[in-house]
This record gives sequence, structure tokens and C-alpha cells, in this order.
Amino acid sequence: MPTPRSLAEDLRGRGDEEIVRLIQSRPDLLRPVPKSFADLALRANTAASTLHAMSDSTAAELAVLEAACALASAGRFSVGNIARGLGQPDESAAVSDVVQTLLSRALLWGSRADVRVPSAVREAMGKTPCGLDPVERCHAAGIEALRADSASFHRKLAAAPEALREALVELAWQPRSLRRDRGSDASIIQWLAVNDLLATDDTGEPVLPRAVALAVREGLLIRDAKLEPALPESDIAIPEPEQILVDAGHAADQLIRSMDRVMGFCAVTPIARQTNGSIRSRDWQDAAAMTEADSSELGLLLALAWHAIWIDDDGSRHVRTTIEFEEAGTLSREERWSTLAQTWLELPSCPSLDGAEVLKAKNIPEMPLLRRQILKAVQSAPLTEIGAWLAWYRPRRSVSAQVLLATLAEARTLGLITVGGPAPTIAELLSEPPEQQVLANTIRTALPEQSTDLILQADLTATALGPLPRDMEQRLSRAADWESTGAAAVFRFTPDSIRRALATGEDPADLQSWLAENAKTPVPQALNVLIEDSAKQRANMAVSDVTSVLNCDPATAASLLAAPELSDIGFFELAPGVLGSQLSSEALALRMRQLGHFVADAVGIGVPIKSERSVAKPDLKISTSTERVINSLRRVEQTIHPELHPPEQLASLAPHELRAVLNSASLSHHPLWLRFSDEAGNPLTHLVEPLSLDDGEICAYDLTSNEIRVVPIARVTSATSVSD
Amino acid sequence: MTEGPLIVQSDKTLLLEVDHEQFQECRNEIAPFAELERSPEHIHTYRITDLGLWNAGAAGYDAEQVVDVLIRFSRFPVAHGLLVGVAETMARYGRISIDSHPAHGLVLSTAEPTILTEVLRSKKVQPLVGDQIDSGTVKVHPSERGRLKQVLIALGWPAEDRAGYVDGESHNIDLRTEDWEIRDYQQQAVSGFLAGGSGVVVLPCGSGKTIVGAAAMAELGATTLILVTNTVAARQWKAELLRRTSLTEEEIGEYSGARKQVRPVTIATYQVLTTRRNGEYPHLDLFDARDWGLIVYDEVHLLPAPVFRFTADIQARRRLGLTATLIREDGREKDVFSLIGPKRYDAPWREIEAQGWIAPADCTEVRVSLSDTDRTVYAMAEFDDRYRLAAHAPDKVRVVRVLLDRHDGEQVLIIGQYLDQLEELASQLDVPLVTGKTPVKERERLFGAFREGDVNVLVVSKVANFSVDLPEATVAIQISGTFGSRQEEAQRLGRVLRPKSDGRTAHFYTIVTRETVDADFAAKRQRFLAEQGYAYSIVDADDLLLG
Repeated sequence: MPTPRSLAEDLRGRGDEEIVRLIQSRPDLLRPVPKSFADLALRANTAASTLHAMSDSTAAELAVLEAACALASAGRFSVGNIARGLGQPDESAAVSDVVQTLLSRALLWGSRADVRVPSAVREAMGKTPCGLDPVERCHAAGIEALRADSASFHRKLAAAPEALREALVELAWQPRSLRRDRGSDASIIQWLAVNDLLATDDTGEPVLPRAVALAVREGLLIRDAKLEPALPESDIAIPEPEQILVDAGHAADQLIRSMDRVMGFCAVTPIARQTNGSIRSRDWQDAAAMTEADSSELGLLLALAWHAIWIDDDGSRHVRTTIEFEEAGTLSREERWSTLAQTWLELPSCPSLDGAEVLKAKNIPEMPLLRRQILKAVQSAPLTEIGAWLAWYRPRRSVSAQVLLATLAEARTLGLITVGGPAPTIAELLSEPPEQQVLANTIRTALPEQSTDLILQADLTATALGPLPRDMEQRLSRAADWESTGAAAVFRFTPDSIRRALATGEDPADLQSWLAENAKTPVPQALNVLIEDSAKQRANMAVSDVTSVLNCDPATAASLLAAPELSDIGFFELAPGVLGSQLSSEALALRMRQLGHFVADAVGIGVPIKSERSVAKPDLKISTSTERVINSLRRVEQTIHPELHPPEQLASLAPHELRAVLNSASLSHHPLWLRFSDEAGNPLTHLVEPLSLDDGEICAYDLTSNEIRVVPIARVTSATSVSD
Repeated sequence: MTEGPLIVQSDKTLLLEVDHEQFQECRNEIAPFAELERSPEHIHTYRITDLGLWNAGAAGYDAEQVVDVLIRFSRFPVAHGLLVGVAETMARYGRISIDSHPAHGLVLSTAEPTILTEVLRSKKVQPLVGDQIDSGTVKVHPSERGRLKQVLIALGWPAEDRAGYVDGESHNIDLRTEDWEIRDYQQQAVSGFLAGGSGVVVLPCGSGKTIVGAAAMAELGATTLILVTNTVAARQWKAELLRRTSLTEEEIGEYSGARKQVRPVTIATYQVLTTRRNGEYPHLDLFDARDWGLIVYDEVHLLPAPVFRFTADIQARRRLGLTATLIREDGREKDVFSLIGPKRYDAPWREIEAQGWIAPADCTEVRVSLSDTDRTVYAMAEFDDRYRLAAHAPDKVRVVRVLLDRHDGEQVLIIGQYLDQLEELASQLDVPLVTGKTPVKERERLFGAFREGDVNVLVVSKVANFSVDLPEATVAIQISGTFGSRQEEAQRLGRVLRPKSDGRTAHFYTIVTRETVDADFAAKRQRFLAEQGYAYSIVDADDLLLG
């Protein structure tokens, strides 16, 4: 097959699947949509896109690219030349595979027998790839002799004094200008001159000629090229896939239960944010203590909930649970877990490191890609070598140890990494396109069986020796405080916790009978008495005629009752920690604030809010279909000009109607007649197939003019689907 | 996943199922590194702490063994982070040590100079050490050995103390076991103590902690200083030592307010040691009065602060702490562990009961009500006065009378907090009263009469909370307590836990006034016993009075 004459011709000659692979590996090539293969090649050869692609390249790919750049300056070369330059046999499969990858990513082009390097790659590699002078500066007779008979050169080299030989080898690998006044250089210069091998650079300073350097290096372009990540022999026991899945299932179960616990806390005690979005340190510590989570786990859970829109700011800088969270409650355990796992994959931050600043608007765009790479590394290397693996896999993007360790810890919390090794769910999580149902199905089989038996003990604790069903756990967590979390659950009943349950509508008799039904032990008398006592105290206070109610801790309530300056409020005690007043709630809140008390607005506590945010808004952005773009590029190449007759009548549409038609066509990619004005203001009516709708523009293949056209929506006056 | 008896929670608590067939085996395996937190009827809770892991390290366990035990017995997969945490925590133990250097005396040394650099940067360490000898060694002031260990634990670099103990002046002591035998758990406690050199033994009231002390003394065969809570306890110790060991009257000295004898075995009270004169503690010299080979701290949970401070200075001597409830209301349990030594033995109360070494006990909370008038007075009272008012509820006396009728002929202790209430009660019931004001001789006479059965009912203040051996008491009625003190509640139950000759069940009544702070405090007080598996049954005073 003849070598194509240009990158554009190379791309044009590739099959659709190859172009799809190119665009998948370099998605920036589609933004904006190229109008032709020449346009695509031009974009692939820009400095920005090339550097971006190189930053995602492995150490092996970068080594091959550097070798290719070094070879390119001396003329044509093949895959075999690259392999030799890397100290590999001509037929090296490893080198061949890397070259193939680089060809498919358009970081090289041409054929295997005649490899070409795009100019942007050569610029990115610098002026002296492999430390070699790119040009042969010297045409001395000695150089010609060297080219003709390298064996003679090596004989001369072998005859040179050892110190000189060593200095020459060092100079060959670390080239620099030579200085006549430096003692060690003087002997080299003299030896080169004697052998008619001396050259000078543009400033007239002596240099080691490229041919001599290569001869000294024995043809090697790169020493110790790392074509594979160098990992030590792993002494990790052979993983047991079944056990790994079981472990993953337990971790997944704990994650969703921890999330429920944190959401339960947010529903009752909305977390206050400061103006900059962070949470006050004390509130953060309180939240961590109340939810039995450490700071990093709480950060992860809140970030997941925030990005899944299970919590949101209610407009008064308080974070509450949303209707979306309520709706997610109807999902199965595995569906909730897979939602969280996929949310985590896309999080633009490393939340377990953020602490109280987790809800501040932060963005590390690289995190989703880094997370994928780390998960990929986890599948390929022992955990202790992930850093080394990443250093080989993405040498141009460093990863801080802190971020790496935090990401691995987060993956463990999600159950993606277990004691035995990576869980099979990683592969499904990383699949493109995402297969949420497959992911959910895999974890479903591993989730631990739920236990419905409670053990009630005289120390007023309830223990479930396994995960409880969600409704049971929620009811119990209303009536008792969490004491211990993990695979099992331990709750402690206290007067406060029972009061809390009763305040949320729990009926004491129902609670007692529910506990009796679900306990495999007798209900301790002390617990029944505690519930009855708490109920009596509530019953005593329910007879009052109250206009407003103030909730606080019992000690504060006692001090408020005793405070003479509050006598005008007329507080009376309804129950420990609950005061009644005949003032309206607004007046009471105002009076308390006037007296310097911080009073939270209790209205709406426990009621989910409606979030204004959205996970994805399909009417704002419709992603480009790669296959359709390629198809359009092919048709542009074919220079077809069909006879098309636009409809005579095309009704003007209101903006929202127009938007609806464009949305619909962009989703279905159905052709539509588009009336718009061109840049000169001329009205045109063309038949187009939409490719994408983004940033106020519609990008479409224009069948009328056989081109890919981008039209600002502001210039579109009407559109109608051809099916209409 | 196994069907093991243990659940390892992510918050480092271990839940152990009591009814599981592997319960005992698992308990023995986790005991060296996990602290028993509570042992109610079905699920016992242990906790893995840094200190516990380091103590296990000191006893020769390594992280691999700990991890293996957790995985082997765990019902569910153990969180990876927890296992890594265990390994990392244990890896910190022993990388720095306190040694005896032939030339420089006591030194702190490590093979990793960076650790020494790190700890020497601490301002708390600097005054405790002397000159640096080399990059990995620094001199230690011998008197600061205990404090240095405390500070190093706080810094997360627990030192392995390899400087050893002084043997002290030897003194032959034998156990005389002609008419009794040391029990298994007592022997295990002694072995645990001897293996570690210093530490605390936790055993329920009435389970024979004195025997543990006597056996330790016999094993070491050295002069011993025994510190106890009061003079009555000192005399009981003396009587017990005379009965159980080869020691004679002449060999045992009493160092109290009344007598100041320093003999091969000397029993001193905390009170006399902490007597201050001109801002000094003159009697603390007792620690240096002889070359003691062992110091026994009875009721170590009551150890007063000056004794704590002095204990830090005598780290080269073997120290044995004895207690039933290692709960300090001042939260200084950690100081006990770092200065006396780690917990060397601990057994759930119910387990000792099951073996028949302490009496089974019924705990009952009797609830009385305030009359409407008293309730109004209570409601109007200042917060500080409320407990006194609630504790004095008149119905409590009626309940006491009913209970005395119910237990007619049995040995009953009535225990309370307020002297006026106790005096009134003793007068109304016409029974003797023992308080702090009662002279020691009179106290001993009354306790003796009670033991002999000449007196059936005794009203006592908190002087009888500890170390008073009244084996025949079968009923205790508590009418008020020191607010929410959990250890006091346990000690008071302990008064009736000595096994009865007829195997009778002991009864512990606590009378509380409902809907007052008395009830709140009672709930708090009962928690420790509930966690030991003692379920309180709650009865209404009216039911009791009518029935």
C-alpha cells in the first residue's frame, strides 16, 4: 500500500472504525465538529491537541515518539529503525504495538515501512530529540569514513585511553558544547580532530557530530526504553474472585447505609454553609460525630450526595435532602450503589481530602480521567506499585501521593477495591458506554443478605447482626442513636432519642410492639418503661394551647425558662427541651434574635427540598454522534450536489417551538429543513441533518450545499422536520 | 465470610456473640489486644484502641497475629482500612525504647534517628530527658521514666520499657492454702500481672481481689507497700493476709492516721499519703521508706492525684492495680494505664457469677412519686437543690420499711448519700448508722456485729462504698447516691455479691423518685451494671406498698 502523502490523506483513507477510535482517544478533535478530513487533520496537528494527546501517552509511547522524531530529522524510517533505536529487534512486537497505537491516535502517520511524524509532535519533542543534534553539521572526511565503515571507528575508539572513552560516552548521551579551555574537553577535541570527526555549531564552538554520537551509542536512540511498566514480582496471594465479590458486596452495602445515615442527618439537621460554601469547623465535627463517619468518609458521602443531587442548598445556605433523594429511596440497593459509583467516577474533585470545604465550588477537571486511570492501574498492578504504574502510564501528568492514596481509599469505601484485590465491578464501571444495569446486576449478587432480627439488651441497646432493611434501619435510627456502624448496627435508646421519635409522629405503643415483633430477644423492661415515660411526658404537655414552639436542648430550655429578660415571651415547658409560647413563631424568632440568640427556622425540617440543579440537562446540550460526523465527512468528500427543493411554505416559529424542533431533530438526527440567514444576511433554506446542539449553535451536515455547517440558533428563523 | 462469632465494626468495636459456640475461644484470642467495653446478656462489645494494640505488642503479639484473629473469627469481611490501621499502629510500638545503659544509666534509644528527632522536638519531652549521646540515644532522668512513657504514648511513639524492674528487698511470703484454693481466674490474673511486670487487674467486687494481691506478693517474695482507701479496708487487708499467707502480725505494718508502722509489708491509706502540711505531702516519703519490691494499689480507680504524680517517679518498681470498675469519674483511666500499667486481666462479672464465685443478684429500681406539694417545691427549687429534694422523697422511707419486712431476717445494708436523711432513717428504723464521723473502732465493732449476725440492718453512708467486707449482706437498699456515679453504683452492688453459704440470690434495690433528676441520675448510674448484664426490673412503689 503506498504511503499517503499527508495526514489528511491518511485519515481519509482510514476505515470508519479507525476514525472512531481516533476520536475516542482524542475527543477534543470533535469540538468543534471538523468540516472535512483536511480540517480534522489540521486540528490533529495543532500544538494544543498534540500536547493534550501526548500528556495522556505512556512512557513507551513517548519513547517511540521521541525516537521517531530523532529519526525523522535524518530522513525516512520504518518501524524496524525505531525498534533498533530502542535496542529492540527489528520485529519487536512491543514496539510494533506502540507504533500502531500512535498511528491510530494520529500522533504518527504514514505506513509501518515509512513512518511519518506530524510537525506538531516534532515541535513538542524539542530541538534535540534523544539528545541528538537534529542536523549533521559536519561533512568531514572522517564522518564519511565512519558511515562507510563503522567497525574501523570502533577500533579507533577502543584504542583510545579509557578516561577519554568514558568522557566520549558521557558526552554522547548528554550532549553539550565543547570548550577548548576545559582540560577534559581538550583531549576529546584533540581526538576528534585527529580522526577528522570534529564539527562546530552555529556559534563556532566545537560539538560532537550526530553520527559520532550515534556510533558511540552503538546506534541506540534511547537507553533503557521502558516498553513495559517495570513492576517487581508481586507476592500477593492469588486472589479468590468469589471472596473479592463478597467483600465488594459488603463494602457496597455499607456505603449505601452510611449514605442513608448521612442523609437522615441532613434531613433533620440541615448543614449550614458559610458564604464561601464551606462548612464551619464545629458544624463539620458535629456532623461527623452524629453520623459516625470520619472526616474523609463524610466528605466522600456529602460530595456524592451533592453531585447526585440528593442534597442541595435550600436557598438559605442550608444543605437539605432533595426530592431526588426521596425518589432514589424507591431504587433497589444495587441501583443506588451503581448510581453512587458512577457519580464518584465523574466527581471533579477528590472529596475525601476536602474536609469542611467539600461543598465549596471546586473543580479539578482532571479528576474523572485520573480516577479512571487509577482504576485501570489497580486492575494491572499491585496496589503498592500503582504510583510506579501511573508514572509509566502517564509520565507527563504527575499524581500527588496524597491524591492517589485518597482515591484508592475512596475506591475501597465504594467496594471497588477489596482486601483480596480489585473487584470485578471496576471493569463494568469503566465500560464505555456506561452499563449501569450490568454494574447493578453484578453487585446485586454480592450484597449481603439483610437481617431483620434485632437483639435488645438491658443496657438499652439494639443490635442487628447484619445489615437491616432500609425501612427498619430508618425507623430505628429515629428512635435510637447510632452507637456503632459497620457490617452490623448498634443503636442506643436514650430519653432524647425516644422523644425525637415521638416528635416525628412515632406512636409509643406502635414502637413497643414493633420492637417486640422484630426482636429475637425479649424487650427489656427498662426499654418499655423508657418509651412509656417519654410518652407520658409528651402527653402531659400536649394539653397546652400553643402558638409557637421552641426546640432546644433541655439545659438551654431550663435557662430560658428562668431568664427574667424573657418573661414577656411567656415561655412554658411542654417537655424537656420543648418550650411553648403564645407569640407567633415569627414574633418569637424575632424576639429571640433581638436578645442575641441564634434561632434556626424550624419550618420544613425533615421535608425534602426541590433542587434547582440537574444532573444532566439534555435540552441544553446534545452530544455529537461520532459515527454521524464520520458519515458526514465521507459525504462531504464525495462532492455530491443533489437537487433539493425546499418547501414553499415554512412557518415562522416562536423561539420555544423552534428550540423544541431543533432538540427533537438533534436527538433523532432526522433531517430537517432549516431556514436561516447566512453571514451576509441572505435568507437560506437548506436540508440539514443535525449533528450537535451546543453553546447556542447547531452543527449539521448540510445536504443542500454538501458541507458541515455551524449555524448560530439566533440566525435560524424556522425549521421543520422532513417527515412533517 | 464465615459463621464466626465476631463482627468487626468499622469504628473499631468488636461485637462478640455470647451464645456462639466459639465465644470462649474467640474471647481468649481477642482479649490481649481489645478492651472489653461492656458485657450485657447477648452481645459483648470490645474496642480496639492504640493503647490496647501497643500493650499487645508489649506482650509479644505482632500485627499479623491480630489481623489473623480478626479475619478468622469475623462473620463479615473486615474493612481493609481497619486492618491497615492495626498494622500501622502496631508498627509504631517498640521502635523507640527505654534501656539501661552501662555507662549512661537510663536512656531512650532508637535505631531510627528521625523518630528521636521527632520526639525530642516535643516541648513535653525536652524537660524529661538529658544530654543526647548519639543520633539515636538520649539520657533519661530516672525519676521521669513514667512521665516520659506517658508523653511518648501521647505522641504516638510508645516506648518499649526494657530497663526492667528493681527486685526490691526480698521477703519470703508463702500462701497458706490448707483450707482454701486459689481460683482459676485469680491465678490467671496473677500470671497476667507477672508476665507484664506491672498492670491492673479488673475483677468484680467480692471475687477476691485481695487474694490476687496476696498471690502476687507470694510469687515475688518481696517487701510490699499496699495502698488502700481507708483504715477499715487496711485492717481487712491485714486480716486477710494473716489468714491467707505466712505473714505474721509483726511483719505487717499499718500506716494510717492512727499508726505509722513501716514493716516488710506495709498497708497505707490514700488519705494519709495525701495529707498536706505546709503545702507538702510529708507521707509520700513512705514510697522511699524501704526498697519496696511491689506496690499494690487497691481500688485503683480512686487513686488520688498526688499519688498519681508520685507513682510516675517509681516506675522501676513493680506496680499492681486492683479494681472492680475501672471507670474514673474524672476520666483519668488513661493515666492509670500509663502509670500503673495496662490492664492485665479482666473478666465479665456474669462469667464469674456463672462459675459461682460471686452471688447472683437481682437489681430492682423502685419508683416513688412526690406528693403534689413536694412536686411544687421541687419545681420551684434551684437546679442544684433538686437532687437533694428528690432524694429525700418521703415515700422512700415507706418503701424501705416494706423491703425490710420482705427481707426480714436477712442482712440488709441501707446506703445513702445525705447524712440527715440517713440519721433520720436510722432513728426511725432504730438501727445503727455508720458514717464518716463514726470512729474507726465503732465502725469495726458495728461491721463485726453485722458479720456475726448480731445486727441485721445497717444504715451506711458512702464510707461503705469500698473495701468493706461484709460477706453476709444479702440485701442492699440504695436511697440516694453521688449523682450519676456509675462506679459507686457498681461498688454498692458489690457489697452484696460475696457468695452466700446457701447460694442465695442477693438483692439490690435502688429507690428513685420518678420524673425528677433522681430518675435521670439513676439511669446514668445503672448503665455500667446494665453493661455488665445486670438488668434492672422496675417496679412502682405503689405496687410494692399495696402488695
